[in-house]
Amino acid sequence: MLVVVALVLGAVRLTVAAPERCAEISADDARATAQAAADWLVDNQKPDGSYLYLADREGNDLGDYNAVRHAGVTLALYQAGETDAADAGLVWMRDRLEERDGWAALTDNGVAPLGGTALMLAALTERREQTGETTYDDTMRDLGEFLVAMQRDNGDFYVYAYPRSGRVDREAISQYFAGEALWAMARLHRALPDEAWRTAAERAAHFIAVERDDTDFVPVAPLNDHWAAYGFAEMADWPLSDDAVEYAHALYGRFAMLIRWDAQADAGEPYATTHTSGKRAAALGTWVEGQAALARLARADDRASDLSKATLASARCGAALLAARQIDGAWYTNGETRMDDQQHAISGLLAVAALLEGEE
Amino acid sequence: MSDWLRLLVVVLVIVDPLTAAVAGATLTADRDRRARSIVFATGTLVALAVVVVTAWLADPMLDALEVSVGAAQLAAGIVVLVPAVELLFGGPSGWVRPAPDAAPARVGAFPFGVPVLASPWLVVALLAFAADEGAGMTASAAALAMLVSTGLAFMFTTPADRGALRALGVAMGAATALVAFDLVHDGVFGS
Repeated sequence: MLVVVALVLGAVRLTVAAPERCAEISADDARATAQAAADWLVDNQKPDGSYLYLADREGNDLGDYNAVRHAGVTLALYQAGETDAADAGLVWMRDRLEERDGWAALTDNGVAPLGGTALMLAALTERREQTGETTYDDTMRDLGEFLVAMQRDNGDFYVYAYPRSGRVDREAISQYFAGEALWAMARLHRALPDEAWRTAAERAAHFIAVERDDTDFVPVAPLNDHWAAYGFAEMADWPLSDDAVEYAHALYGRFAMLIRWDAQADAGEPYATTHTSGKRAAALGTWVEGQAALARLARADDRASDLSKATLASARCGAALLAARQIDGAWYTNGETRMDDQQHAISGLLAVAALLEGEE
Repeated sequence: MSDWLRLLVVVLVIVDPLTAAVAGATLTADRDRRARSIVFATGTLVALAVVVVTAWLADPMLDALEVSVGAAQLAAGIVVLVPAVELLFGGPSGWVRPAPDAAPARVGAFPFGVPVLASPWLVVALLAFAADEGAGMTASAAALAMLVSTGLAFMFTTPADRGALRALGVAMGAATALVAFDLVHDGVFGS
């Protein structure tokens, strides 16, 4: 019996209870790492405002593009204070806006993915916060109208529309688009208050908290949806519903486990062998973003205050991992970096920096 | 149920009075009442010392191991599954052999105190509990659970019906498995 227990103890030490190498990271270090990533995006931006989507270590363009990720990168650049580069990215999006009957949607080869419009709206709200300019308020409202029009009866969203034909895909699902739309609507209500935005956000939050993991076939709930965490944090003083607060607790556990596993992978041998995740920085960055958003929620809502220390510790651990893995401003997986590696890392690192500065 | 009472019940399940009783009966089968008392008293004192020290040293130990609370809970859940499976499928064997020539105090310290009462899975679970719930709360709950468990075991003097023991073992195994799954759940989803 003791031999069996010894073997089990050895196995858990090699796997689930391996050392977690989380270096300390300061707010300054997090900001410096984020700035290096923002510099990489700016240095590689193309004249038409698009970004280098996929590249190898030598900086060779490996092709491909995605409008949703373009919107996300633009958002991250606004967060990093790279307004000129982000504005160039905004021009690229405005060239692809389809506007009809009081709404506007970001299209990608004729298709309007919900997430693209949501992240463009989030980027514009970020721009408004950073610059104080109201130039794009009407565009923001039009983007919001599209999101509201795409919302289903249960609070979920249709995820693809074809603006030129007016057709909406009523079958497709996307696990993350609802969270993106939730956050965008919540931010829009904060910037340009309107009950329509608030109601849409609340309905989306309810759907995500109680239905999404079932209807979107999430194999092990909860889905590690940092967008939902952002949305919940944005809605903290509305206040958030009890089911969303409960879901936020579950999200914390999911993000914590994912970050923990990556921290264990960085503990050297033999743990690197037993923890090969192969996840790119875009994934780790989203987990850091999620934990940081939950940390903000924990500071604003007493019902989530028990998460305050744990979320920050976990986010800080993930941020330190990101800093340690950065190479010349970018993050590479199997010799390649994709622009959203930088995007999510920037957003996560800046969020952690802000939290750490809030503690000082 | 208060957090402390819940912790007391959980630790009592992990300490497992049934296995303690079977082990105690096996180790003291041919001993007089005085020797039996020495075995139980020594075992209880040694186990109490182990659980209290474990609870108080949980944070520095986990720090030294670079293990977070969640990882400790997950690991504890997996380790606690081992006795649960043994109880469910093997029954409460007590995991000891008679040692009639050994001094009562020695038998009380080893194997009765450690590893029967203060088992490796109890130690791992206490590390997780103490890191999550606090050392004082865990130490007090674990100490009382240990006293209750050894008190119940001390009353168990005559060999019980094998069928009854098997049934009790299954019930104890099921309870231990529930505790293990709860720890795994806390480790994965946060407590």
